[in-house]
Amino acid sequence: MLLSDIDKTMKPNDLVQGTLSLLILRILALEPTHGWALSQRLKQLSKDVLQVGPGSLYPALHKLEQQGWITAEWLLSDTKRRVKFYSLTKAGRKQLASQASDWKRLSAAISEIVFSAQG
Amino acid sequence: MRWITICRLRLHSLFARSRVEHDLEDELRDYVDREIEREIGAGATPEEAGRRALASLGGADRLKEECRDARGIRWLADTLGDVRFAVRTLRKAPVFTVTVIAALAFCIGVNTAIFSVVDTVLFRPLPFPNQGRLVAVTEGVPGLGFPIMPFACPDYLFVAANNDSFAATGTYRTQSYEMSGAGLPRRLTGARVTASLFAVLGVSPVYGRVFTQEEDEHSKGVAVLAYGFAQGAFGGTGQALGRTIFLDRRSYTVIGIMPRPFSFPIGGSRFNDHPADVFVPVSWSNEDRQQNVSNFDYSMVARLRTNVTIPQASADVHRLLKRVVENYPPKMKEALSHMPNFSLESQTVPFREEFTGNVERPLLLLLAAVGVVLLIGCADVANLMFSRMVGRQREFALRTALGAGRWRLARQTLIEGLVLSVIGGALGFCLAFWTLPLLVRFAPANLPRLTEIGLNWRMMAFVVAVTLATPFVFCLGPLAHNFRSGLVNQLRGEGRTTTQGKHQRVMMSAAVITQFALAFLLLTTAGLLWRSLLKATEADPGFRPDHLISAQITLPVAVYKTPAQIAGFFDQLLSGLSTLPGVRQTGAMSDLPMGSTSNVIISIEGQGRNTERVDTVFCRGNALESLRVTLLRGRLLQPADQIGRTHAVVISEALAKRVWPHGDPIGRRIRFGVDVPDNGEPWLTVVGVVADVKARLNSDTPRSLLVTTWPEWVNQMDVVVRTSGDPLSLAGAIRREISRLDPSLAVGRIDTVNQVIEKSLSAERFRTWLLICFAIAALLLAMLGIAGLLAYNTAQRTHEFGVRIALGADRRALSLLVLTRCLRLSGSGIAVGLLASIFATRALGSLLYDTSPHDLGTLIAVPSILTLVALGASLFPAWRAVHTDPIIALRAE
Repeated sequence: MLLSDIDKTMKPNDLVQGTLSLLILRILALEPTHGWALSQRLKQLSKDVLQVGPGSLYPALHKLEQQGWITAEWLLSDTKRRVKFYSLTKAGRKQLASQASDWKRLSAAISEIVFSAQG
Repeated sequence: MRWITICRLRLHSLFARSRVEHDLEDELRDYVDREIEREIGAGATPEEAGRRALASLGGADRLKEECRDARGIRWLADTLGDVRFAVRTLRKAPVFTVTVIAALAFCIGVNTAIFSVVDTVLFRPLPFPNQGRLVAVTEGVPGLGFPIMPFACPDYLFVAANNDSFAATGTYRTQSYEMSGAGLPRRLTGARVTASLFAVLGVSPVYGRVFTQEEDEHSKGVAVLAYGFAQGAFGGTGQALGRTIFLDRRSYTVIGIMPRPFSFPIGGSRFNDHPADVFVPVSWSNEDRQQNVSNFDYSMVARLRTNVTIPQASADVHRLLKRVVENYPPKMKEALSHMPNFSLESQTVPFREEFTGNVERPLLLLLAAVGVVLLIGCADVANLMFSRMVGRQREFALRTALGAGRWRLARQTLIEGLVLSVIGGALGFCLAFWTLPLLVRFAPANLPRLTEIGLNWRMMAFVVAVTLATPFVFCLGPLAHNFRSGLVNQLRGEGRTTTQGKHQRVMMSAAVITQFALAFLLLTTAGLLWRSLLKATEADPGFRPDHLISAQITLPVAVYKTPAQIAGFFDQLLSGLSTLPGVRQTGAMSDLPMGSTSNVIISIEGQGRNTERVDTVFCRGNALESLRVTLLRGRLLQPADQIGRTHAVVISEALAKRVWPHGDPIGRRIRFGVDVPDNGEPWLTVVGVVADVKARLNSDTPRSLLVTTWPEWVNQMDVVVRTSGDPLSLAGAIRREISRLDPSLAVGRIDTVNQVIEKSLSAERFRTWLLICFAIAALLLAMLGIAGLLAYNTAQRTHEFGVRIALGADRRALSLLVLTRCLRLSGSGIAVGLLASIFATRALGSLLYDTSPHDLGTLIAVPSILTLVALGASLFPAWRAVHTDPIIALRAE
């Protein structure tokens, strides 16, 4: 599965969306940030492999906010613009931990199958 | 707690909608701005940067919509929109809206009120902790005609001491007391209870304490008061504690007051059925403890041990009663050995069965009746919605064409229904709230748990459930129609020449036919009950109840100790009363014919061990003559017949026929108890036979009645007075006469015998009148239904009628068209109802007295009424059809 294709080729399905929320939670765990910076950080941390456009990012952010895992705060930027900063809530931190461990198990299992079958 | 957060967030998104929208706009703009900056930083021209940044959003509106969806509030927002829309459309059709809401409010209101009563009496847990473990235990000697009886004292004591099934047992019996020491002397209901009773029930007093087992055993004069009584008698519960009251002239100290809701015994119980004002120790004497096989007076209630089931407990009690019989004294055993039918049985049932048995069937009948009324109302509303939908067909078709989904339109219909039923439900709840006290006031006094009826959460839950469920019933037809009829058909309908589709026509007719069938059922039920009530009131009680007044007098044993004193009082009273102006005869009897009578076993001379169970009444003076019982043979008892002098007895025809089917009963002898050598009772000679006197007006079973002279130790008598004028005008004089003889004596009730009879039918009267009300409501709703449908049909065919008239059609033929349709609809409904009622009314069975479930009069009257009502309802639509003005009808084109 090519995560870099999220925005270009397909509507995010459940698995991908789950993964996207994991990524968002993980990045927000580092520091509170706004939507654009989040997408840049994602790109940067994945060394340009993952590019999530606003079309997937914002609905995902709103969904996470609605579920109470992240919370938003409006701040004024240095250029006096209203900027919506997202940060992780306590529930979000718990969710991140559980999603991360799920992902670890899942990805290990997939790797196991994919690479042992090849080798 | 996460769901609370989520709810809060959703509500915020919902109600701060414009803020949320504004924020979304800002957030996306911020993204675009930053993207432009980045592009410019990367070397793009400002125009190019702007274009690319916007393109990356992939359509701002779509993105916004996805964000809104992500917030998960769209359906809620849509629903709110639908509600607003529904309210707006409903306000545009005030007649429709008001009619529907009124019908729903009435139906939901009566359902709620009746549910509340039925629920309180039958279903609501009793106000005792862990009430599911409480059982009522009874004895019985079915072989001798006593299937269920309360316990005899020694039997109770034995079971209480030796059982393995009960964690605790208690017993109680109620009796009437004269109370003095707080205001004027008066009569009240007292309960003699074991100290354990309060613990068994699990209730403790609000003030003071209850008595101990020791106080019970030592016959201490201590009393626990019911809350309401303490307030009424002492002007407050605080003042009552420590006071002294006199019950039958014996002093008792008030040591405790029970909580307000504690009403015991529960009214309408099988035995000891009157809630007590005062609880005193049962304090059995040694004599009481040895009275085997007699005085079955003590209702037993017990709490099951954990893990013991009712069948196990029942078997346990059964086993113990076998031992009770084995332990009888030899003389008793010898006597019983002559009675092959004697066997002491028992029943253990959940405690609630103590009082639900008599009322369950009538109450469920009432609940079913209001359910039927609700269904008829729903059919009305469904048809009204249907006819409205046809008017709005083009609106729906247009919306469908513009892309509204079927489900969306269905939801719109349902939401309209919900709006109607929520308003109707709220009004209905108010209606129930106001009518409940009325219902309670007219309810028969022996309806169990009457005081507990009132507003509670179960009633609220019922209203909410009915309110939410109702729209699904009455929207069913319109919805089905919505899904069936095609868009093309609807658009092609073009409005003005629309006649209803065949499918819809069938549905609406079916609704009206159902209404008539249901109304038929209700009317028949009400009619049968009414006939039965009439038959009961007109039934010959076996004596003449007019011009009769009675006063119940109980002499306190503490003062009237000897038979001579008791006899002296009554003889003086009777002779005093007979000299009053307007008095024709007087007498005294142990029970009025409509009261409870004592059941005893008698044996007949020359018939060996054969025994008979009879109702016994003791009398003195000219009691039988005052009643004007019908003498068939021999003579009545006279003042000269006195115990010890003549051993005379008068029997009822039923008893005479049972015992001496062929011979002449006059001169034969009988005596109380079993015919064994040391019986001890004197032989009584039959001197007369009277026509059957009924125990209850609505009982068919001939009653074996035995009237004999009064043994002078009986201290409770009903004095009966036959008057020449209005019997009630003598009440004051009788009261004065009594207080002249004993100023401190409290007189129970002084009522005319007609009043007593009236009261004995109060339960029947209550349920019959309620059912008649519901039947009339059903009739009106059915009338509304058929009138609505016919008016609607006529309106739909205005154009056709106009053309017909223009072409010279006979106007009478047109009105016949409407009338025929009316008769066809109501006739089908009546036919279905007739078929259904043939099976359904059988369930009334025991509720009917001397009336067949297929009573011909009712079966003729009900269809006639329904047909008349249907014709009446069709008059206006028929008139409209005849008076269609062809010019206007055609111009409407």
